[in-house]
Amino acid sequence: MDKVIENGQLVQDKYTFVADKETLDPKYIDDANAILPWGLYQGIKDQRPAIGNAVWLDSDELPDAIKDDLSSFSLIAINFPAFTDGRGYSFAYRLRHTFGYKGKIRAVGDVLIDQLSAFKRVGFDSFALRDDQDSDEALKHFSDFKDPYQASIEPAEPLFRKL
Amino acid sequence: MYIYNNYDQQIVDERVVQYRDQLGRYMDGKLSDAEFLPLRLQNGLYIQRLAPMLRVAIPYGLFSSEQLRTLAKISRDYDKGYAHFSTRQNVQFNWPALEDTPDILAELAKVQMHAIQTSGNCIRNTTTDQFAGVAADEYIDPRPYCELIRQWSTFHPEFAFLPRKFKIAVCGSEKDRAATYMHDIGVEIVKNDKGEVGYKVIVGGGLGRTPVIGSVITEFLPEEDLLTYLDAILRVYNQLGRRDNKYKARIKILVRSMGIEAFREQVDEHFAGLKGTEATLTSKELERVKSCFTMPDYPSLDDNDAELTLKAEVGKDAAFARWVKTNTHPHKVAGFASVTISLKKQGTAPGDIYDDQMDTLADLADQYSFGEIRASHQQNLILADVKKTELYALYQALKAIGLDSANAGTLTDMICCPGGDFCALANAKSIPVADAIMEKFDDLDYLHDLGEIELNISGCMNACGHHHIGNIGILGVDKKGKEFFQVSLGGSQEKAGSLAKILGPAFAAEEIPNVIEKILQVFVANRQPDEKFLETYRRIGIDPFKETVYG
Ligand code: HEM
Ligand code: SF4
Repeated sequence: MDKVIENGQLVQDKYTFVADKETLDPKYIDDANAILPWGLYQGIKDQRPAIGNAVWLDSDELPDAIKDDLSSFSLIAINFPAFTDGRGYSFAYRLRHTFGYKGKIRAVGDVLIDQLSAFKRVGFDSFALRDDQDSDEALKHFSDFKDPYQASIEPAEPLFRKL
Repeated sequence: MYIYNNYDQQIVDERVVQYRDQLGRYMDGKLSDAEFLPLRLQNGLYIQRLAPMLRVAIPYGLFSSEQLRTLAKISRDYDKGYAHFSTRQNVQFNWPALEDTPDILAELAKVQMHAIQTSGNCIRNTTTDQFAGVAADEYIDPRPYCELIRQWSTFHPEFAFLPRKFKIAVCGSEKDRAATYMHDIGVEIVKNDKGEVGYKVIVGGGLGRTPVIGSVITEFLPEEDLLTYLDAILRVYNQLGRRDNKYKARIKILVRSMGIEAFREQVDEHFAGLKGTEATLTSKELERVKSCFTMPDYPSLDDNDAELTLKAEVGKDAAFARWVKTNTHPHKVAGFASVTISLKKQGTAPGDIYDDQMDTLADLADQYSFGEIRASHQQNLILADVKKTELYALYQALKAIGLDSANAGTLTDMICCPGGDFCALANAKSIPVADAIMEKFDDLDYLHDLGEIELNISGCMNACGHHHIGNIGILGVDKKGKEFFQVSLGGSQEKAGSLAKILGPAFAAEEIPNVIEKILQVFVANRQPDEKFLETYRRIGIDPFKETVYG
C-alpha cells in the first residue's frame, strides 16, 4: 500500500489504483477498495454496492458524465496526465460547487508539490504525489498563500468580503 | 492609483518567498527544467537567445515615479542599464542573471510591483487605455475594473494551467485604445438605457498565427457580475480548449469551432450557478477600488489663458510646435493636456529607455504630473496630467535627456517586437528594419504631413509586434533560410478592428524603406484633404499600392 496526503498528514492508503482503462481485471469487480476507471465502472455498476465506490476520471472526461452517480462514490480521483494539463482543477471545483459532491476528491498522476495549495483550494482533499516527490517538503506547501483573493471551494468567500 | 493594503502586500511577499524556494530547488536539481519552466514563466522569466528575460507587470499601464525609480535601479544594478517597454504595458529586462531574480522580485515587492503571471499559460496582465481617467472621450474610468480583474486573476487556483495564455483588455471610451476586439476577452464598460453601469463583453479575439476579431458574447452584463462571468468563461475554456496542438489552443479557436451561440450557451449555464453567490462583487468593494482612482486635485485654470501662453511659446520654437502637435493630447480638465513621451528614436530599439532617463523622467513626473506615469501599448510613456503652461518647460527637460522625439502617432512611432536580436523564435531581425525606416523618414515635417499612420513590425507569425492590425504591417518570414519581410496594409486596432491584407511577395530587409516610401507616395497622390492613411486605403483599395510597389 502506498501513502497519500490527507488532512495535512501522510497516511497509508487503503485503495488500489486501477490504471488500465481498456480491460478490467476480473479480480477488481468486487474489490471495494479499487479505484476503477469511470468507463469500466459503468459496465459493472450493477455488480457493485450502491455506495462507497471509488472511480477515476481522466483529464478529458468531464465530471458531467458522472453527475447522476455521485451518491455511489466515496472517492473520485482525477488524473493529471501532465501537471501542465489544468482541466482537473475545474473538474474538482465543479464536482463540489455545481454538483454538490461531498466525498473525497483525490489528485493522481503528475501531482507535484508546487501545485498542492491550488489543488486544495479547488476542492481536492486527497493527494497521491508522484513517486519522486519529497512528501515531507510537500506538507509545507499547502498554504503558500495565507489569504488568497478569489472565491473557490476553500475559501468560498473572496478576500474582499473580509475587508 | 491603487495602493496595496496588507493583504495585497502579503500576497506579493509570499510569492517572492515561494519563488526563491522554487529557484533554490531548481538549482539543487530537485526540480527538473520541465517542472521549473511553468513556475518561472508564471513569474515572467523567459530564457531567450542570450540570457534570461524578466517581464515585470505594470498593471493596466499605470505606475508611480517611485516605481519608475525602482525600475531604473534594477536596470542599473542587475541589467545593462536599460529597460524595454512592451506592447502589453509590461516592462522587460533583457540581461538579468537567473540567480538574481528572487532579489529583483524582492526589490519590486517593496514598491508594490511584481512579475506575477506575465508569461505562461495563465491569465496575463490586464491592459487598458493609456489615457484612462483623463481622456476627453471617456465614458467611464476603466482602471478600477482592471484592478478588480488583476486581483481576481492573481493566483486564481483553477486557471494557472490553461490550454494557452489568456489576455484581457478593458476600455471605457469612445475610441478603443486597448484593442479589446483583439484579446481573448475584451471588456467594454458601458451604460444601459437606464443609466446603469455594466459591460459589453467580447470573446475570442487575438492575433498570432490565426488573427481573429472577437465576437460579442453579451451586450450588457451588470456591474456586480464581472468576476463571476469571467469565471464562467474561463471555466468553459479550461475544460474544453484544445490541448493537443499549441497553435489551436487559444480561446479564439474554441469559440470559432463551437460557434459563438453554443459557446455563449455553455457560459450562461456555468454563470447561472454563480450569479448572486458570495463570489459576486459587492457595492462596497466596487466603491473601495473606485475610491483609489479619484481625480487628482486639479487647480482650476483658465483654458484661454493657457492656450495663449502656449501659442506664444509655440510661435517662438518650431521644434516645440511640432512636438505639441503630435505628442500632446486633449484632457478632460481645462488648462491640462496629456503628453506622450515617444520611445522611438533612431539608434535605439523601439520601447527601450536608459536608467538615467528613467530617473529624470520620475523627477519630471513628480514635478509636472502628480507623480504618475503610464505605459502605452504603442511602447511609449505618458504623463497624463500636465498643465498647458508647463508644457514648454517639460519639453525642454525632455529634450535635455533625448526623449523629445516629436513623432507620436506618426509613421516612425512604430510598434516593433524584439525579433531575431533577442528572440529564439524569430524568423528575422525586426529592430534593424525599424531603425532603417527611422533613418529614412527623419524629416519631421514630412511625417507630420502624412498624419496618423500605424506601422507595426513582428519578427515572426507569433505577432508580438501586432503586424496584423498595423495600417502598415511588416512580418519577418523565412525563405530557404534567408530573412524576408512580408508587407501588409489596412489593419486597424479600432473598435471591431480590421486585419491587414498582404500586399504581395516578401522583400529583403534592405528593400523595406523604399517599399514604404512607394506606399506613402500612393497615399499622398490619392489622399483627399484631411484624410488619414487608413481612410485613403479603405477608399481606394489595395490595387493602386500593388501596382506602384511591384510595377
Ligand atoms: C523575446 C521573448 C519573446 C518570446 C519568446 C515571445 C513569444 C511569443 C509567442 C510564442 C507568442 C504567440 C503566442 C500565441 O499566439 O499563442 C507571442 C505573442 C505575443 N507577444 Fe511575444 N514573445 C517575446 C517577446 C515579446 C515582447 C517584447 C512583446 C512586446 C513588445 C511581446 C508581445 C506579444 C504580444 C502582444 C503577443 C500577442 C499575440 C496575441 O496574444 O494575440 N512579446 N509571443
Ligand atoms: S513576434 Fe516572433 S520574433 Fe517577435 S518577439 Fe514574438 S516570437 Fe519573437
